[in-house]
Amino acid sequence: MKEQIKFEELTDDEKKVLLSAFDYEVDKEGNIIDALLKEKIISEITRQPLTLKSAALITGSLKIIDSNPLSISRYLREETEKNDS
Amino acid sequence: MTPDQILLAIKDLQLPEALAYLAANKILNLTKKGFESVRKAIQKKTAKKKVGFVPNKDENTFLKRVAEREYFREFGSILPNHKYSDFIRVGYLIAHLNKLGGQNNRQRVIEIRSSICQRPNGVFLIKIVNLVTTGAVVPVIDYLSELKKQKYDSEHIADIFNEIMLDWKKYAYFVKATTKMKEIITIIKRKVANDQRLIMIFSYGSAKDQTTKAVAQILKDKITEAYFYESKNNKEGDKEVHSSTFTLIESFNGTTE
Repeated sequence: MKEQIKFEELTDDEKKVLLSAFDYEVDKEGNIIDALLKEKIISEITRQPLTLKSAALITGSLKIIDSNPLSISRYLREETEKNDS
Repeated sequence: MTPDQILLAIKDLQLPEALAYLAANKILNLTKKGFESVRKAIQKKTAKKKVGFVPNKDENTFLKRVAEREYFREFGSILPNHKYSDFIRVGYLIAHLNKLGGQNNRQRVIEIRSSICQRPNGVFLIKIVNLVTTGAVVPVIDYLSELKKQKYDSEHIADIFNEIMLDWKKYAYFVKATTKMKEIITIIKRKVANDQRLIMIFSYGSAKDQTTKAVAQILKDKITEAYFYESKNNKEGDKEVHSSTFTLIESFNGTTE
């Protein structure tokens, strides 16, 4: 059985450290920026830029998704699918 | 503090503790020259464990645990990995927040519901969320489960689920505390006369009294002999709901509607 995800909270500064380790930075408005492409990260669900306050940072190879319940539910479903296959 | 000293300090720490150490020491940017080894150490720790860093740990842990709910699991076994299960999961979260009450939770419920309503097809999607908050999820999933037992395939069951959701007012009847027994009987009789495959009658609190009396009268009059009848109390939603469900026997043979 694959390891189940555990949810934790980080401070904004801790999130910035983690993001920087994967070439992301945060602009003055709090948007997460791909430092290599110089582009905002856009939520697949809401089509809005992901911010330090709204994003969920998921470890592994660091996945950044919107933290709204629907996005998290979709993530959990897709993880179950992967584990089942 | 040199990168080597930092590396030594975080070497045996778990990822959250290592991040806390770096943040406390104002080392917020690991792309700076000379910090490559620290950056690699953080990447390595990130790859080790599956953790979701989220704004609200309790809310997301609750979402994860919805997977343990009997009816959520049942929906998953009937329609595996169906995208609507995301909305059912969110429905459980909203029901949980409603049960907890308080201004913050009420505000959160408004935010979540509004984010779903604003999505394309939001009016339909919020109905799926409401399935859980009203407790209606129980007879609906029981019905889908019965179809599965009768060996209908997932595609057919998904079509029927869609049909029930799209025409929700036809299939579900929520009795108000002020509704008279006579009116309940008339409405059920009309639905029976139309050979509806599924008739679900829901009542909360004091509305349960006149509903059970009305259903008892319907059963006594023997006008629902073509139907299976079942009644249940469930607490899947915000509050306990009583459901009376009539299922057209023919609907399992594919000969109706």
